[in-house]
Amino acid sequence: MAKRIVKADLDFIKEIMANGGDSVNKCYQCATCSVVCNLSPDNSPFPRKEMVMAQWGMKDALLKDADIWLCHQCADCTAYCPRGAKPGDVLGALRKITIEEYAPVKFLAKLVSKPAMWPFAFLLPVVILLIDLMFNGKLQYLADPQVLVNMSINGEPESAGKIVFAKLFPTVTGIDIFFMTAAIFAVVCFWIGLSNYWKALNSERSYPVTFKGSIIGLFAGVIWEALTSVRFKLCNTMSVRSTTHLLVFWSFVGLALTTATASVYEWVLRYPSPYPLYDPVKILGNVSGIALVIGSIWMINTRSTLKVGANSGFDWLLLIIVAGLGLTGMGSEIFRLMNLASVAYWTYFIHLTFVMFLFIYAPFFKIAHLAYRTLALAYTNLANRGEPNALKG
Amino acid sequence: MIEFQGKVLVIGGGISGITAAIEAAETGVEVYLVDKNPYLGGRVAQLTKYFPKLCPPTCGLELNFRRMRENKGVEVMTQTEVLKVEGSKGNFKVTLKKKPRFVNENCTLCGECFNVCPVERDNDFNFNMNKSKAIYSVFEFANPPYAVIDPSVCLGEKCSKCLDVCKYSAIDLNMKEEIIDITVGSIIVTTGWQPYDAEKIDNLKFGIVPNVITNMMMERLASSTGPTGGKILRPSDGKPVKNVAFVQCAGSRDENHLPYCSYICCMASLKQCTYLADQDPEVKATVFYIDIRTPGRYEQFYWNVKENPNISFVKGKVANIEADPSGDVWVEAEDILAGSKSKEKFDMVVLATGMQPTSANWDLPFSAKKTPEGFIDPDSLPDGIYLAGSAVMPFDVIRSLHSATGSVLKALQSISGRGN
Repeated sequence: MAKRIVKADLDFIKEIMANGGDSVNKCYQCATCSVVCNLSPDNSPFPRKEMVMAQWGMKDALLKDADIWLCHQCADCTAYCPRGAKPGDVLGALRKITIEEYAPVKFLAKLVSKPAMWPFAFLLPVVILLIDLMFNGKLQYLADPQVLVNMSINGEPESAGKIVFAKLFPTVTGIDIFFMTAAIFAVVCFWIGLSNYWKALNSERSYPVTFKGSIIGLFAGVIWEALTSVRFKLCNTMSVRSTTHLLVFWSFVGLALTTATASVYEWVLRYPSPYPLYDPVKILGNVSGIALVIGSIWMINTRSTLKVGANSGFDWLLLIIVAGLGLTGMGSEIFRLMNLASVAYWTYFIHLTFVMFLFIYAPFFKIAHLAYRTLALAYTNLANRGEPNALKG
Repeated sequence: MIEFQGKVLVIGGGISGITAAIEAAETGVEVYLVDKNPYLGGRVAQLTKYFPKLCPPTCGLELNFRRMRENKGVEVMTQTEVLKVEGSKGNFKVTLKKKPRFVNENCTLCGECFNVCPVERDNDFNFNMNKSKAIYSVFEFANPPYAVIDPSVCLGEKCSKCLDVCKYSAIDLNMKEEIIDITVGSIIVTTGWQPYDAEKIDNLKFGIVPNVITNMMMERLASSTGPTGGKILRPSDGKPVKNVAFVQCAGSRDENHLPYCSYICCMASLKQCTYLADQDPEVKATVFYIDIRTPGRYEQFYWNVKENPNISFVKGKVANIEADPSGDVWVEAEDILAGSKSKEKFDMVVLATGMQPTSANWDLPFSAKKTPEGFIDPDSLPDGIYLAGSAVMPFDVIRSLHSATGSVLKALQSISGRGN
C-alpha cells in the first residue's frame, strides 16, 4: 500500500462543524453507517470513510469526493450511529461546502451561507425589484396599490376596475427584462461552478472512470432517477422524505410548465393574464402551487419532528424559500380573487422577491444540489459505483 | 478486639455476594445472604469457564460454599427479595419476601419426582434452549442442593405425582410465601448484571433470524450441564457448528442501547473461540470488532487466540444480519482495513451482548438515585449501604471479588462503633 501523508486542515474541520456537521468528532469508526446505508456501494463505501477524512480535515480529498452526492440524507446512518455522530448531517455539511467552494461570485455565496446574513441576502432582490418599479415609473403605487385598480393597461378599457399584476410590473419591462437577466446570470454561474467541479472530480481520480454509451443516455438515466426518486425510496428511517421531495420536485416541474405555457399565451397567442380559473394553464398552475405549499409544509414538519439536519441553515433556507414561494404565490391569487387590491399587490411583490431570490442565488445555496447531484451521479455512474445493490437486477 | 454492632445483609448471591458474605462472616459478624433465584452463584453459575485461566466456575463457587459450611455465620435465603429498608446505619429494619420452594431440606435430589412430573417448563437457566419439569433441579451442583417447583406450571395437589414417589417427605405443596423482618447494621448491594436484551438491537435480528444467539447462550451450549451436554450445536437443527461469527459490541458502546463498554465481552468471545477450537480443531471463527479491548494482562490471552490460523478478526461492526433458507446466517459489515463491505455466511452467530445492571429494572427499597444507565449512584446511597461487584460497573470475576472484599471493610467500619 502506497504511503500518503495526510495534510490535516484544522480550519476545514471547524468549517464542517459550523455548517451543520458539529457532531463529526464523535465518530469512532465502527462502520455501522456504511452497512445500514442502502445507497452505499460495496467497494469503498460511504459514509464511514468520509467521517474519518472529515475528522482529519482532508479538505482536498473531500471536495472532490462524488460519493457525498450518492447520499440522500435518509438518516439510516444517523439513526443507527452508536455515538450520535450523525454521518448524514456531516455529509450534508460537505455538500454545502462543495457548492460554495466551486461557485463563482463568492460574495453572493457568503450572503446565503450563514443565517445571520440572510436579512442582507433578502435585501438584494428587494432592491432589484424597487429599481424595477422605479425604472417603470411604478414606485409610487407600491405605497397605495388601490389606485392601480381603476387604471387600464395600454388604454384597454376591459382591464380597468380589475386587479391585474401587470399594472405594477409590466410584462416585458417589469418582468421579462429583469427576470431573464437574473436567469441568465444564474445559468452562467452554474456553468462556471459545475465546470470547476467536473475538473476537480477528474483530477487524481480515486476510481477508474470509463465512458460508455452516450452522454444523453447518461444524463437521461440520472434525470429519470430524480423524476422517480428510485434511489430516495431505498431509505428506511426517513422514507417519508422521498415522498415530500417528489411532491415538491413535481410541483416545480408543473410550475415551470405553467410559466412556459403562459409565455406561449403571451407571445404567440397574444392572450394576457390573468386567465380564468377553468383555463388549462391556470388549472396546472393552481394544482402545482397547492402541491408546493403542501409539500413544503410537510417537509418542514418532517424536519422539525425527525431532528435530522436540524442544525443545517443550508437546508432551512431552501425550505423557507420553497414555502415562501408557494404561500405568496397562492396568496397573491387568493387575495386578487377576494378583490383585496392592496394586500394582493403587496403579496405579489413579496412573491416576486422570493422568485428573484431563487434566481440570483440558485447557484450558491441548496437548490444548486439539483445541478451538482446530477453531475456527481453521472460521474459515479461512469465510475461504476453509482448504482446501489438494491437497484441492480 | 473490635465488637461489631449488628449484622450485615448482602443483597444478591452471585460471586460478589457470596464473597462479601463469607469474607464478612469470617471476621465474626453474622451475615444474611439473600438472592431472588432458587440457587446461589448468579451469572457465574451459568458460565462454562472463567477467563483467563479457563477453569470451571463450579470449582470457585464450591470453594466458597465450603467456607460457608465451615463458618456457619452466613444465613442464606434464596427466592427472597428485599421489599423495604428503613432506618439508618447501624439499625436498618429490612422487610424480606421469601417465595415458597415447595421442597424442604430432606430432598436428596434422587430425581424420582422429575421422572413422574407430567408438565414441562421453559428452562430459563439455559435461556429457554431446553425444557425442565415443573419440579426440577436448576443445574447439577446447584446450591442449596434441593429441587424446586415452579408454581406457574405445577398442577398442584390434584396431580401430586411427585408427592407419591418422594421417599423423603421432601415435597410440601402447601408452603406459603413468607414476609420476614430482620434488623441489620449494614447492607452490601451485589445485585450484579443481566444480559442486555438483544431483541432491542433490531438490525442484529436476534429472535427473528434462527441461529443468532447471545454470548451467555453460548456459555450454556458449551457447558456440560447445559442443554446439549456441552456439545456446541446450533439451535435450529442441532448441527455441529463449523463456522461461527462473533459480533462484538452488540448493544455496548452504543448510545441507543448501553452507552458504556461492558468490559468483559471481548475476553468472553476470545474465550468462546477456545471452546470452539477445543471441540473441533477444524472449526473456523471470525470476530467482528470495533476495537479488541483486552486490558492489562488479558492482552496475552488475545495474542494466544490470534495465533490460531482458523480464528480471524475483522475490524468493522456488524450492522446487518439476514437468514439463509438453509439455517445459515448472513453477516454484513464493512471490513474497514480492506475498504469494502463484506457479506459472509456462517453456521451460527454469537452476539457479544453486554452487561446491563440488574438495578436498572429494580424498584430500589432504599432511597438512592440511579444513573441514566440504571446503575445505583454510589454517592447517593445512605450511610451504611455499599455497592460491590458489577452493580458498580461492568466487572470481570477478579474485579468483582476485589470489589466485594473491599465493600466488606466499608460495611465493617460502619458497624465498628468507632465512627467514620
